[in-house]
Amino acid sequence: MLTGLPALLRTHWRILRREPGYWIVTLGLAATIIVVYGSLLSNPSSPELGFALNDDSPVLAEAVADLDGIDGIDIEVGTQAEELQALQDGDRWAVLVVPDGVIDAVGRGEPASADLLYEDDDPFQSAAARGILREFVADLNEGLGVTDNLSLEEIVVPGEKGIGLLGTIFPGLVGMSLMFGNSWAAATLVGWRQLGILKRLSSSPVNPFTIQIAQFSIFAILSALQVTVLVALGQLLFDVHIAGSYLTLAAVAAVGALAFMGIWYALASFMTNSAGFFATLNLSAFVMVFLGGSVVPNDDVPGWLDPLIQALPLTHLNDALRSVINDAASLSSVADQLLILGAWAIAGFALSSRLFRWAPR
Amino acid sequence: MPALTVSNLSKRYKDVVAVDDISFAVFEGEIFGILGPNGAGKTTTLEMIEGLRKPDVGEIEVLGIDAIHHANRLKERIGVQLQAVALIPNLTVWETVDMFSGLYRKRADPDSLLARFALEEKRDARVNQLSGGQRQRLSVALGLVNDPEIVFLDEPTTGLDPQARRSLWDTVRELAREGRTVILTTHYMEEAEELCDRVAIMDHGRIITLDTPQNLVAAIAAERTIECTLTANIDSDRLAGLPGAQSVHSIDGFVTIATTEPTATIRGLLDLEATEGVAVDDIKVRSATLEDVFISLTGRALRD
Repeated sequence: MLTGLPALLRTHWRILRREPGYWIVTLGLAATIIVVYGSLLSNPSSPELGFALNDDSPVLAEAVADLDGIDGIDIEVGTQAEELQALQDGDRWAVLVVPDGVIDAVGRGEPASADLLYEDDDPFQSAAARGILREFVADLNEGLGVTDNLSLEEIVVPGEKGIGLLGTIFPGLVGMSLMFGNSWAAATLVGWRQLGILKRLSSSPVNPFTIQIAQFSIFAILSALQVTVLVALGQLLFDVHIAGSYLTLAAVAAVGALAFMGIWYALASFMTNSAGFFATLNLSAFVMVFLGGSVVPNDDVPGWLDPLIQALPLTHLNDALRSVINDAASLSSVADQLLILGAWAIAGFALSSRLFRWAPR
Repeated sequence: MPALTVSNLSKRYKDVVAVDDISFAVFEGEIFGILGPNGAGKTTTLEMIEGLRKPDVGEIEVLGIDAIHHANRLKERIGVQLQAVALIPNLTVWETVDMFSGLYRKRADPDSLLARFALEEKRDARVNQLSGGQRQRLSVALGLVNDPEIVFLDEPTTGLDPQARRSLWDTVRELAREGRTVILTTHYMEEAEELCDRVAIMDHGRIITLDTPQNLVAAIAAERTIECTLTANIDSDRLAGLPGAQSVHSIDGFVTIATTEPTATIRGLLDLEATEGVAVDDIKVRSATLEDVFISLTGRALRD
């Protein structure tokens, strides 16, 4: 019944052995995922929790002291005004405000509530802090021999920048779209070369420059449309605030588009088939999306990763976009990032035109 | 006047000498064939003339243009059909012709081109829905989008059925009648014989002979070819020793013998039954063809 099985297994193995894309994606991605996530998440900095204790019950003070005794959690106790200011300044992940007389009331079996305030700039931090404080309140209830008499009112306060989670992530989404959107021209080039279409074109008087300009123009327009849709929907549906001018934003996006167009073209020069191109593209894009700060803030990563982060073009594009979108930066104040992106664009295009080939090797 | 001249052309890929010091000229309005087995160097030769590959050594002049250093100027005036048909899958037939003709300053009318290759009905079909023969015809049509003075066809009839092949031959003759020079490669003997004004026979990167098909055959015209099937394999040397035998080619009991004395050779063949115990199963005598020219020059059949 399974007569052909060994032959088919052999065949699959032979096919896979010759498919570099498969190995890059499976093994390379596995290694990259654990390295990237590991370095982002394995050494989180200690949660900094603020307590404003208007109730001077010893039970409460003891519970806070117990929490303070746990390694890896930093506790600050202060007045309500001090702690809320610290939260505003980004020095606390969350603050628990316990009103006066709450513990006694709970002890008498009456319901009462405390306020959990957190800022919304960093979803990872606030989620961790909220988890700890909920647990803290549950333990407090248990210690008082009641269930859920003390409830928590969770209140979001605008973060340091006052732009919310989406506002924080949004520039990174624009950067990510520019990175992916500008890979199509290079992908087309690889596909055409693989299919022999470039070789056929080479028998006509058309030159490589013209072919690339054509691909480039079409896909640059599509990339611009993509960013427009992103910005328009962000504003219409989610009230994303663009602090800087649209013109500056367009200029930064254009330089970013050029940089990635050049980078992917350079990659295309080394790739003989589409599978290999997309595998390498996805792998490097994956690293950039996470380490370049597109979907998670990249300021809490271990120091040894810093040189890598600074080397990634997406880091600089995201920085520039963030400055323009969130902080209304002018073109001149993001000149550094634009210069770096410009250098990537020039290097990418220079390399790809030097390595241009009509036919696969 | 030659439309193109090739002098001392050589090309090597790593350890393989693909083209080995060849020289020839093709005249205006001529249908010139390059005939040879796979791997003889036909495609490499063609692609060097078309400006797609740089030769290691040698000179190529096409339409008075140095094809090695001014390939781009030349490409405007020649038409090329490559051996491997490469088309953009999602385009229609018409869109494909439109794209390629748009790459040239001089353009043939796309619709009459499609008509000429019986592709009008497929005008709006995606190219990945075409049959093998239709793709092949489109590929040849694309070689004419710029109304070229010289047309290069690399194995244009491969994959075509006999009827489509004959119709393509008619088209090629028509191109020559219009004053174009046609250079084609083929490994079909009858194609070269039927179609070409002159034929260069290539083997192992060299041109082993070049003449009109008539002259090439006439050179061995005194010969007849005996094709026979034997009941068992027999040593080629034993067959070569038969009376009148000039050359012998034998594969799996199927034997081709070129002979100047057919009667004596046949008698010798029949005698083998008594002396060697090998009988003749089937036998045919015919006059020589280009295939026989190739065998007599190389000792091998074209499609070994």
